Amino acid sequence: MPQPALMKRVQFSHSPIPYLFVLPQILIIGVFFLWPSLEAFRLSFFLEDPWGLSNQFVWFENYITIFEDPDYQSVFGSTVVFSVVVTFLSIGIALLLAVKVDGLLRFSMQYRPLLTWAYAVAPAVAGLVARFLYSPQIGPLYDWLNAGTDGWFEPRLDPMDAWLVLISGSVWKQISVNFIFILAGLQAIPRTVLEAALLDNPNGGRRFLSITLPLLAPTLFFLLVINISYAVFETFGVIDTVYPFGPPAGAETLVYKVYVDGFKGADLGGSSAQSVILMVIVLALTMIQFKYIEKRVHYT
Amino acid sequence: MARLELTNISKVFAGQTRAVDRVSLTVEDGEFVALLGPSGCGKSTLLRMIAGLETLTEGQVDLAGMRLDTVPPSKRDVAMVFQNYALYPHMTAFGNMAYALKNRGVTRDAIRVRVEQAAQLLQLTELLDRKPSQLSGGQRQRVAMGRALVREPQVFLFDEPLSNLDAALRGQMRVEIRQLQRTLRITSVFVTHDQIEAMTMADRLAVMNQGRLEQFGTPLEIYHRPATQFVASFIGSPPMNFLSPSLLPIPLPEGTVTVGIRPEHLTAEGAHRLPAGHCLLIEELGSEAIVHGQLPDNQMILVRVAGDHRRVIGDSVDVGFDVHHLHCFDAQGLRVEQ
Repeated sequence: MPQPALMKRVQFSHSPIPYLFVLPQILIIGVFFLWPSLEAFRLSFFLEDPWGLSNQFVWFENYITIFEDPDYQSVFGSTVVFSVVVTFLSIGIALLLAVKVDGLLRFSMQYRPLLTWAYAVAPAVAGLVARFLYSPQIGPLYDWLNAGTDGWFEPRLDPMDAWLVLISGSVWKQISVNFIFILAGLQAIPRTVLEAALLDNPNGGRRFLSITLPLLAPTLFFLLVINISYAVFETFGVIDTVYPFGPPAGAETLVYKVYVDGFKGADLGGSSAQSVILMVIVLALTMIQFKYIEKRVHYT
Repeated sequence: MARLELTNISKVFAGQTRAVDRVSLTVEDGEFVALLGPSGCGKSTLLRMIAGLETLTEGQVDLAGMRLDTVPPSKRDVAMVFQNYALYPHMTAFGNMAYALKNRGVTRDAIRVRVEQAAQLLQLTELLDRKPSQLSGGQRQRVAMGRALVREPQVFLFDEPLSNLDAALRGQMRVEIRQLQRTLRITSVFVTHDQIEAMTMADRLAVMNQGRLEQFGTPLEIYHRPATQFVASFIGSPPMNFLSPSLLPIPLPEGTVTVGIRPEHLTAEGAHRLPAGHCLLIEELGSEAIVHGQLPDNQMILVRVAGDHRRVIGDSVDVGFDVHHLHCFDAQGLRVEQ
């Protein structure tokens, strides 16, 4: 019987080549994620002087300071609201657009590239676009929102107005990515299943909720995970380009605060502790999503 | 009651030829009609127009005396079984069968009763909690049948429902579907490209080619009196031989350009002889064999012989026929009566 011998050889002789293939990825993760994370974790237990000349091990003092800081609590709250709104709007609008384009028989080939263009735009560029659109000097949206009022909309001074700018910029950037995924997800649903539903259910809205949406759930779940981490982390680029000198007080996210405290305020220990907390939150959030939401997702 | 009438139905897809070309046919109440034809002949399009999944370019569909083609698909009282079953993958077998009833406002208890009845009929009772991914091909087929059945529709539409099953299961499902339809007496239209399915299941069959209805009749009518050369070539396995009239030693009706004769009607005892040829190939099927012969003029013929024939390749093929087995066709491929 030559077969067992063959199987054995396949199973037990290791070639180094596969490891070589994954090495670049491992290196990138190590250098750009693991090492900085560990460094942040280490620094979060130290109190360091602004020039990095001396440091002192302070146990959990940095963490205690953060949790007792009312400013941190309010930024935490606004980050939660911001992330939920950005995620909800960017998935929701993309879903609406994708469903509409998917239902088109004509011109869908023309709409698709138009709606996916923004995918190629970096968060910083999206921020720049938002900055121009809402600029008091040249921004058409600034003029439009202020039309007939005496300075009702002031995104440089009013934190609520600033949130509007940041949310619209972040959402605009993210819609295209979500659109691509949702459209692909919609087109992966077998046509005959939708036709069967057409014979079984006269109500278009209920048909969408009971058939299309559940079959799209794997895609939506994936996007939920991706979009929450986008809203929490990557929107930093949008904030920093719309407000190169910082947003008005009360319009910061946690990541932006890590940056401000660490690099502008030179509080490396406190900033590191904040980033560790952030990491733990996102980790927990992702685990919760997988544990509770994924259970309700049906993969075909 | 549920008499289905198609009148002059055409379908033209944008910028293309006619997928369905002025088809008229009537399915009587409780009748089982098969639409048979090669792929691309328009049979599925015709079925989808009855279901309301395609619009009509011309013509009219009536069901039980009421105009059907202006009614939205979900209000048509027509149930369809799809080729790949099209089950809802996120619902259990029960959910799949209950879905249409739920949307029609049937009460929960009534749904349970009807689904369980259908499940019992289809031997699905043990499988009602399973999702489609946990079912075998044949079981999915049954669930798809059940989904159509519980609606108690006026018309059943089948779109090649057996083509994804293996040969043994297909034979079994063929019988089951037929028995079910006989018991329930529901008007049915069954699309297939498989002539055995069409011949064995249908009360009447409609043979289609290039969007046109070639012939509509009982299986035996179509086998014995094919109206066109296409029907003659499409029905029957192995296919009918088509010979040039010059090979035949008898007078033929005027206008005949092609003469057809089935492989099973070429025998050693036939009253009239064909010119002798030789045997090129023999396909042994056990109970019978198909002899491929070559006549003078390079004319090829197929002869069906009994399994114990003892011929070998190179032997002479000397067969005859009876006049009443000949099918004569004119230049347009239409049947010429003798």
